Amino acid sequence: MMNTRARRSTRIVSLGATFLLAGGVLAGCAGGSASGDAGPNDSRPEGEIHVLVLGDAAATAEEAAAERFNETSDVKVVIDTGATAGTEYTTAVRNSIGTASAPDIFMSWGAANIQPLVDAGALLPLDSFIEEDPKLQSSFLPSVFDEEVIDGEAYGIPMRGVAPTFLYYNKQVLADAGLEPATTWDELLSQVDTLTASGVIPLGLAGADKWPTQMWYQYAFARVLGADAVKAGLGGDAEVWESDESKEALADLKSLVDAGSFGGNFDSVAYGTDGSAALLRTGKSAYELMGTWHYATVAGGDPEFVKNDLGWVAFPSIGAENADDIAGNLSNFYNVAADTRYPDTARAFLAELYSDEFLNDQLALGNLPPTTNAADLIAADTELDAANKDFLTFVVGLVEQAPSFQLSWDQAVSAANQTPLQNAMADYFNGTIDADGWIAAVQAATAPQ
Amino acid sequence: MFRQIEQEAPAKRRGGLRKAGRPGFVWALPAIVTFALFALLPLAFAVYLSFTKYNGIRLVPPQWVGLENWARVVTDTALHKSIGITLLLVVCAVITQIPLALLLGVWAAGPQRGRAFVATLYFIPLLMSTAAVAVLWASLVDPNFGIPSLLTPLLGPDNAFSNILGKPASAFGLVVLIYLWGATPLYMLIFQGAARAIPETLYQAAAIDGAGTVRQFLAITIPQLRNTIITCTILVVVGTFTTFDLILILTRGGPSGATSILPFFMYDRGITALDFGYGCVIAVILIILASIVSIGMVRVTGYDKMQGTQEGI
Repeated sequence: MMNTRARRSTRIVSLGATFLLAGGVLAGCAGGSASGDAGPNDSRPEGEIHVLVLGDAAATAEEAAAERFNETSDVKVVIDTGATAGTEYTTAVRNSIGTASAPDIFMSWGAANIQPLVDAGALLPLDSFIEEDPKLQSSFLPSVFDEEVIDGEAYGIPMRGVAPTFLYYNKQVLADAGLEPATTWDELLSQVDTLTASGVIPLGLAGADKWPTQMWYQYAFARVLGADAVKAGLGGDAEVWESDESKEALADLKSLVDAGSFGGNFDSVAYGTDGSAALLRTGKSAYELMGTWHYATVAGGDPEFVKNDLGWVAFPSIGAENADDIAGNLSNFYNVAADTRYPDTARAFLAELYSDEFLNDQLALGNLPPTTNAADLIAADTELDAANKDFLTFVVGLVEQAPSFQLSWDQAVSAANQTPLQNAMADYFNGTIDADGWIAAVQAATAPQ
Repeated sequence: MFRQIEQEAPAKRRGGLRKAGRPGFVWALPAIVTFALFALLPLAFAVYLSFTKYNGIRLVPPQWVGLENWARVVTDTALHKSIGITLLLVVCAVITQIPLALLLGVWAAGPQRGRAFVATLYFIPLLMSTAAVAVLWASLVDPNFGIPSLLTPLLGPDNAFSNILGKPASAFGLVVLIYLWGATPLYMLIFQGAARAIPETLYQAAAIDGAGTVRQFLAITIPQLRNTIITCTILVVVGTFTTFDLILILTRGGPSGATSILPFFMYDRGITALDFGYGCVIAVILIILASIVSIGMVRVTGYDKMQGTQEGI
C-alpha cells in the first residue's frame, strides 16, 4: 500500500516537473518572439551579412558573386548553403526569421511564397533600395519583377533563371514516324495513333511527381480561358473553374489522356529518378512538356543526344486565341530580412544580381537570366556551345513574345494548398475523380484564405 | 504479515546498503529527466501546438484557436483514409513479417549445412539504408526500364506489373512487400536466438513420445517462443506506425493517397503545407493510436506479466 502511494506521488512529482519545464519553454518561446519588430537588429553578427542559398549546383554562381563583392566591401557577405529542396529551404528560413541567426538575404519563389512573411513584417520593402539604385528594377523583365510586388511595394529582386515550360521532342522518333512537331492541339491529337502504332509513348509524362501533370492543365487553361481568367481563378474566383471554358479545357485534356497519349503507366514514372527524361532520350517517348531545366537534365544523361536529336517547340495552340501565352516558373527572387543590421550592404550586394559576371555564370549553368539584356548576353557569349545557344535563344524569344507568363499554379497558391491542388491534377488524369470532382477540389484549393 | 512489513520499513530506510538494493526515485532521475526532456516535453509542446494556428514564423507566435484544428479531424476525409491505410499496413506487416520471420528464424537455428550462408543472404536488406532500398525498388519496378519492361513481350503491354506504382492496390502491395523483405531479417535474427535457447531435451522427449517435426514445432517451439513472438509483434506494430522514409522517397503517398500513411500525412500537412497546428493534431492522433494498439496488445497477450516459458524445466 505504501509502495503504491509512494509510486503515485513520485509519478505526480515527475509529471508536475515535466509540465513546469514545458511551461517554461513555452513561455520562453513566446517571450523570444515578442521582440521581433522591424529595424536593424544589433544582436546580429558584426561586420557581416549572411546569404542563405539553395544548396544545389547553381549556388556556385552566388558564391562567386560574394567573393567579388567582398574584395571591395568592409562588411563581408557570408554565403551559407542551405537545403537542396525548396520545401525544406522555405521551412528553414521561416523557422529562423526574426532571430539573430536568420539570414539577411534569402531566396523565394513568388508572391504566395512570401505573403506570410510580408504579413509578419519580416521582409524589408525594397522601394528605398530601388530609389537609390534604379537598376535593381529596370534591369529585369517587368513580367518577372512584378511577381513579388505586393500592394505596390517590391519585396524581391529576380535571380537565377526564367523557366517557362514548352514541348521537348525527340527529332529521330518524329522523323521515323514521318511527322513534324505539332503546332496545334488537333495536330498533336492526330499524331497520337501514329506514334502509338510505332511503339512509342506519344507524350512522356512523369505522373508520379504530379507537378509535371499540372503543366498540361496550365497550358490547356491558358489557351482556352486566357491568362486573366486563370489568374482570377487562382486568386479565389470559384466561378472560373466551373465555367464552360473550364469544362472545355478539362474535356480537351481528358480526350488526350483517353487516346492513350501518355501511355498506360505514366503514374509510375518519376522525374527525379531519370524516368521521363530517359524515355525521351532513348526514343521511348516522342514529346515531353517540361521546363527549361530539362535541357540540362537530358544533357546530363546523354550530351550527344542533346546536340543531335533534342528538339523544342512552343506549346501548341488551341483555337486562335492566347496562342503565344506561356506558363512555368518565373524566376527565383532574393528577399531581405526587415531586421538586417546592414541594409546598405544588402542593397549593394543585390546589385551583383544584374552584373555581367553573375549573368554569364547563370548562362553557363543553363539558366536564362530574368534580365532585359539576356538576348544580347547570349549572342555575345563565346563559351556557349551551338546547341545551348540555340536553346537559350529559343527560350528568350518565347519569353519576349509572350503577352502573359502564367506562374505555375502550385506556386501561385499558399503552401497549405499546394498538395491538394497537385493531387487534383493527378487524380483527374488517372480517373480517380471526374471533371466535377476536379472543379470542387481546385475551388477548395484556391478559395480565399 | 502486513504489520510486519510496516515495522520493517523504517529499518530499510535507515540502512544505506539495503536501500541500494531497491533503487529509489533519485536513481531513476537521470532517466526520467532525459525522457521528460526529449519525449514528454516535445509531446506536450505538440499537444499545445495542436490547439494553435502556427505557420512557422517566430515573429507571429502560435495563436490559440481552441478546437479549430481538431474540428477538421471530423471532416477531413483524406485523414480518415490515411488512418485506414495506416492500420491496414500495420495488419499486413504483422501477418506477413511475423510468420515468415518465425519460420526462417527457427530454420536458421537448426544445424543444417549451408544454413549460415543462406542466413547471411537474407540478412543483406538489413544492411541497406531505406533511401537506397527505395531507389533500388523504384528502378526495379520502373515500367519502362525495370523488370516490368522485360515482362511486356511475354504478358502484353497492359499486364499486372506494367504500372505497379501507378495503381493504388499494387503500390500498397509493393510497400508491404518491401517491408517484408527489408524488416524480416531483423525478426528472423531474434527468433533464431530465441529458438536456440529452447532446451534440446524438450525435443528429445517429444521425439521419444513419437511427435513429428510439425507437432514438435506447434507443441514446443511456438509455446516456447511465445514471449519472443509478442515482443516482435509489438516491434513490428510500433515500427510500422512510425515508418516514413520509404513512403517519402518511393511513392510520396501516391497514387491518389493510396500509400499516404499517417507519418507521411503529418509531414505533408505539417511541414510541406507549413500548417504546424494541424500537423500536430495528426501527430497526437498517431501517438494516441499507436499507444492504444500497443497497450491493447500488451494487455491481451499478458505481456506485462511476462511469465517465463521454462517453468518446471
